[in-house]
Amino acid sequence: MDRGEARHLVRRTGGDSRAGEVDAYEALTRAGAVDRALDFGLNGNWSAPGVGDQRTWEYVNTLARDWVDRWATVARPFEQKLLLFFHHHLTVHRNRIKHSDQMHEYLTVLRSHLLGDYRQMVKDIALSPAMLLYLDNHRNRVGKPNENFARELMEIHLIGPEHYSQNDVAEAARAWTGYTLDDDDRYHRFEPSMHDDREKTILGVTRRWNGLQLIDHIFTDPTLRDLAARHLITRFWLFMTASEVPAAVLDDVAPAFVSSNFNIRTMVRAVLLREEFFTGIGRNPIPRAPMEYIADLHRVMGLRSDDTNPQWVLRQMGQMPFHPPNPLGWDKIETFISASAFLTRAGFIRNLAWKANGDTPFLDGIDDLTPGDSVLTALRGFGVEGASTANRRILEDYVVRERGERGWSERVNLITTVSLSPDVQVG
Amino acid sequence: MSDFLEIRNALSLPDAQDPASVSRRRFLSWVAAGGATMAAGGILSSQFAKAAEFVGAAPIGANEGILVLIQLGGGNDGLNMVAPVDSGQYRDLRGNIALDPGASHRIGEGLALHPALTGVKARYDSGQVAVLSGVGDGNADLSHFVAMERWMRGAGTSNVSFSGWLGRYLDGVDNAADLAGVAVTGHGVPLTLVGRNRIGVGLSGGPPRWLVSDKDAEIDARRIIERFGTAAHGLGPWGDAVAESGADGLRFGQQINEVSEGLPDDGFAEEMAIAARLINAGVGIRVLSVDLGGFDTHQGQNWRHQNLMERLDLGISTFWQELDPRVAGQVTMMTFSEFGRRLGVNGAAGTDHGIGSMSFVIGPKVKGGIFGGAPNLNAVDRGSLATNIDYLSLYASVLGPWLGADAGEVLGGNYEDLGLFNSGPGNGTVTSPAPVPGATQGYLVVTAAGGIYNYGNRPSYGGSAVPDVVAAVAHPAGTGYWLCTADGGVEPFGAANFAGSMRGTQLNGRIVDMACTHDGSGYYLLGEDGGVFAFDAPFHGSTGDIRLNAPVVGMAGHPTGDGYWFVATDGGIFTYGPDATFYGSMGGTPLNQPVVTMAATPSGRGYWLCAADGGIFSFGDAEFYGSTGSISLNSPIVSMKSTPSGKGYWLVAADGGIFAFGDAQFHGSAADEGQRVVAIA
Repeated sequence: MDRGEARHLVRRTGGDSRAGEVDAYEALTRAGAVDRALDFGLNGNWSAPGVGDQRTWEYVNTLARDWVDRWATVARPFEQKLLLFFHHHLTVHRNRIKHSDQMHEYLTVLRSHLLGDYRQMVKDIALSPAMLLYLDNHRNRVGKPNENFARELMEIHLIGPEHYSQNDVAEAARAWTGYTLDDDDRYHRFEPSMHDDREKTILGVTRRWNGLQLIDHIFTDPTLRDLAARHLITRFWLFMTASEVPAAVLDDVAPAFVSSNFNIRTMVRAVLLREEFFTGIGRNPIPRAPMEYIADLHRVMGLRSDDTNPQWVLRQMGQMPFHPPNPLGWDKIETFISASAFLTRAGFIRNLAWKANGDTPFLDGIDDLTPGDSVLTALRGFGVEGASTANRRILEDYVVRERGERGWSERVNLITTVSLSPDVQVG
Repeated sequence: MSDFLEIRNALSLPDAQDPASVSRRRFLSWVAAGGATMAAGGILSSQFAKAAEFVGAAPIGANEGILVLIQLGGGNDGLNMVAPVDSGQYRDLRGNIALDPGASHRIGEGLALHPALTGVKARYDSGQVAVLSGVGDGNADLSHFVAMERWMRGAGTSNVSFSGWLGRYLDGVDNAADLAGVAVTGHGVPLTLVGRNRIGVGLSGGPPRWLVSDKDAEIDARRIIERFGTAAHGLGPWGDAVAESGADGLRFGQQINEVSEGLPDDGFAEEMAIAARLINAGVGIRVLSVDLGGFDTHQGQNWRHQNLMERLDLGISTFWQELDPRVAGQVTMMTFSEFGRRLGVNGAAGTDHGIGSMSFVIGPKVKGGIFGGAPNLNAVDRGSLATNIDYLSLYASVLGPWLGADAGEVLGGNYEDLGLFNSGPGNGTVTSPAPVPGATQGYLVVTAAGGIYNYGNRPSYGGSAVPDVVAAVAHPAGTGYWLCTADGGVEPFGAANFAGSMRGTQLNGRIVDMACTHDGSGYYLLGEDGGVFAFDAPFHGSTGDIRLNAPVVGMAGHPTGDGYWFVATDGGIFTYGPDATFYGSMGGTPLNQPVVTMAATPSGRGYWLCAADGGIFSFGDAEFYGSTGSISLNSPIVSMKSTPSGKGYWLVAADGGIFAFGDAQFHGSAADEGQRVVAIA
């Protein structure tokens, strides 16, 4: 694989784009490299941070810090990015969740199927207290159906809009009655007395549907399962490339995903191995979403969330875990790069730079190098190779001026400005 | 324990970061910098028009109320803000943190304000402060988060979705402007302003210091970001966009920073000043939220609370100083905190979480005094003041009488109105929030002698003592107007301001018409020779030095403020400024009667000309809705006025006769007054 492709794969999978890691990918074939990125077993098991007496709004901060730290430190960071994707795809919001434990339980369900059985993931999430609370299904009962979950299940989780009618939603809501919580709103419980056991007609089929049967039907009916495969691939491609999925990718990957019994690893691998991903529309540089960007800065600077409290900047930048703006998940990538978002980012990054400058060896001694080497070393420290001549010149001009006038602020200013350069923010 | 900032963040949505929001914030920061009121017409006011159009800003009616909500975060010790300083029981309970009776400001019923509240005391003495004693939420627990969430939600039942009481209020306001609810906190939009259908706007706080500092090292770092903004990166369009957003962000940060110039060196007072300026700008704000944190005084309460009371007093005073006195009658402010604190002192010279506290409701229309009486130190709930006034009653007392809302609907239950107001906002009558152009459903008829006849719901603010009035123009807010006389005199009424006149100056010809800028900050006078005199309004040119075929008779300003047209008796049109486009004229076409007046459409993309016989000539997007050209008039038409929608117009004849066309409604005529009429406004 050529170095450009290796860098593209590493960066796009949320990995460490500094020289050593890119070297390792460069030595592999595309398939070998994708398999390497997917080798999540090397990361070890996730142990959820203890809940203690933290309330949901406190514990969510703990989980956000943990997300950043694990991303910044594990051998195969793509795991964290893929987890973020499924948290986006099957999203829940903190403000509906009653018990802090329900958040890490939700994440545990996602993690347990992360490269596994997509159908089981959808079912297990549907029955997770976090989802039952978030989309109100715990209140969905016979005679008083609540359509919220049934609608989003079909529209967002499974097949996308335009493939079902309002009547299908109403009937699906009846199928989902009775999937509720225990009296403490703590654990899932199926309550037969709340379930509507009569016949319903959903997507053209009449039977005494229950909720899980509906999911099974979508994953087995030839037309519907193809829609479900295409729907997930479309969302995954968009998440990975900020572009519309090419028809050929859908046409090729969807059947493979279906015939693998909806094995997520099969789908992800097939998408990442596409020519369109390596040399086509998927190769175009795109901005890094906030979580990925912040995690990468922690990794290269050797900082941990205890020192930096990244949860506030994640919240302000719009990608705080358990705080999606709506049931569709995170906003489009362009919302992260406005001028006002820059102010948020710039304040946080200046603090990171001072921390790295004072507490870590990151870029230590850079001011003993020639201006040209100082700039190259700084860029490499962030995993940037081949920065444009224009950007290097801008930084070199600065170093020369710095040394003529002050001499003390070169390191902290290079850390700050390279962090905010397009080379680090886009890839 | 988490601090106020952390909880407040958890109870806030981030400011939306869509591109529209950037423009909106830029606009807000510019308004906040004083641009809207300090701008002497000119470029700034045209920017204002464009930005205001973009964000859907529109002034509210003259009788509609505005609420400024001050959140005192952390649990304000009400008994240290308003204390029964002479009570032995109070002195025993509070020991060495009790207020000094000699320095405190007595307000009656044995109560006194904290010594630092000198500004509040002055307002209290003028009858503008209601002190609510023992206000609280008896069902709250003592957690900051739960208590604050309950106050922000303001819902009597749990069936109200995750939303805030003022957000739900704004949900119910028809045609609420985009900027109807604004949080000036720099920390997103608090739950208070989150409605079911819409979410308030968060105004960014100050930029990070390093983006605006004078330090050479930081200037140099910024220079790098700036240069990235225009360099060739080879990273595609997204790379360029990211680099540009950095450079753009730097400029944005500088703009925001300018907001603080000339303001007190205190974050809270700054935000209060910004709140006032936003109201002054007349962009449709109904609710503003500002907050001051740090009230969780578990230790060292004496000096901590002293400092907080100083800041609160400074912020309140700053607000009323910055507020335009012409809108003050529409503004009320209210303080609240998630809970009060214990009666007794803890071991660290502080106080722990309690229930009942004190609130202030302040404003010119507020019924000053103490509500709820002196606190009963024997009525104790969990070691602190029991709830004497339910917090939902406080909300209900503001929602109905001040904001004109259905309080029961907003709060999900009915609560007592405490009677906090002497009268409603503005002129004194409480009105329900009405569609924004409500104030202009009607017209004024102006006579040559300076008399005013008002029709529909247009208020009169009096007429001129100087005869030979030739023209009149309504203030865009619908709450005032200017008259001008042939010798260039200008008389402002109501919300209209005086920005200068030509009276006493030698003129080449009589003044024949006038127009005001889109935001009412300035105006133009037009001479019959085509000379234009601009006052606090951008001058774009005139025909004052050109020999005209026929005298000029009427003018119209473009709604952006960036241009104007005028018309001559032969129907010739003269356009000035970038936005006043030429859409056609009657110049060169023989007319039955001379043109006497013109009016522009609200979009600025068209205009009507009107002849003395009532013949109408429409151009651009101005449509023809009828004319008096074919009927025989008792006296000639002298003036015309477009309806707010532009889908109709009124004509007025010299005898006061009114002719309404399109969606213009007839509200009455001055034909029986026997006066010579010169204008309709």
